[in-house]
Amino acid sequence: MKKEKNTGIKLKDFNKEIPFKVPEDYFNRFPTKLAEAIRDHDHVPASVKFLSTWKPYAAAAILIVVAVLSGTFIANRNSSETDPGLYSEISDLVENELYSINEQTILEMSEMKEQNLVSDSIMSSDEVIHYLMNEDIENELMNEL
Amino acid sequence: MADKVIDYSDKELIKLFRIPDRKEEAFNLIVRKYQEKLYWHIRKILLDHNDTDDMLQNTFIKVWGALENFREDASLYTWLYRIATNEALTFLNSKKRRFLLPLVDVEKQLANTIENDPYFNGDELQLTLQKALLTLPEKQRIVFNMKYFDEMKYEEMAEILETSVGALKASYHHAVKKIENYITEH
Repeated sequence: MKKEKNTGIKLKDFNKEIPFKVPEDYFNRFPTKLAEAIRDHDHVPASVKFLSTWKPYAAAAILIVVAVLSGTFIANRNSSETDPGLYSEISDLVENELYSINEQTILEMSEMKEQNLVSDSIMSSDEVIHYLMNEDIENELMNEL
Repeated sequence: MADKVIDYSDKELIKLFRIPDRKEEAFNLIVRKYQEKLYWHIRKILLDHNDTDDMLQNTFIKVWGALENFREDASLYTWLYRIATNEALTFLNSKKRRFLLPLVDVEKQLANTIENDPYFNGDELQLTLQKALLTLPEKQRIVFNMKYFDEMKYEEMAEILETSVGALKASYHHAVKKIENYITEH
């Protein structure tokens, strides 16, 4: 059956009743639920609330700073010791890997970790920092090439 | 319990709230007095029950924290509505940012929400009306809801939304025209 167009309908013709409903007993239960929420909210110290909000951003900032410093360190250290062409290739490789870690990725990883979606077998931040500061990273990468 | 709520005026509830021993009792009375009104106000903006429940809780949590220092330059009712409106709008905006959705897509999502919502019990015409409302800018939709469904006076709305009566009348008038055109076309 073809749907008829609602020609010339005015708002005054409408039923003003709100066409939504709530779960049964919702308003009776709401004050109790709210009281619990407020208790939970009040028991979290302000410093913890602050830290939990900013933890992922702090972790992301630390990793980015470490990545930049490591990249700079490796580039400066190796400038006189290696074949410039090979150095350039390694430098590009390291740079691409390090700078591909963006804040959004780290935030997502942090959230996934909190949801236990990421296993503990992924390197801890200490291991990452150690890896990046590894003086032999250049040799290891050369061997891989 | 309902009678007990109605016995207290807003001024009395605020006074009671400021007595340390009676703070929780006063707050409970405020919640029972305003929960439904605020719920439906938020629900008409967000449409989804669970989102509304969350924002209603947020609203009252804010009230709990701020009522002690409430200056009473507006009525309690106005102040509560203002907080609830801001919570709902903040939620909509954060939804847009979180999913990188432009305004139009958020409204499309909300339209889908109504269609699939087990808590929507309107007829075909009411569904069309709700979809028409979603074509309005958020603030205009709020103005329409407050005037059409809540039958608020413009002066009350002006206090809550901190906008002039003239601007509200113009906004509502245009909203009505847009909605009637939408319904005619659909």
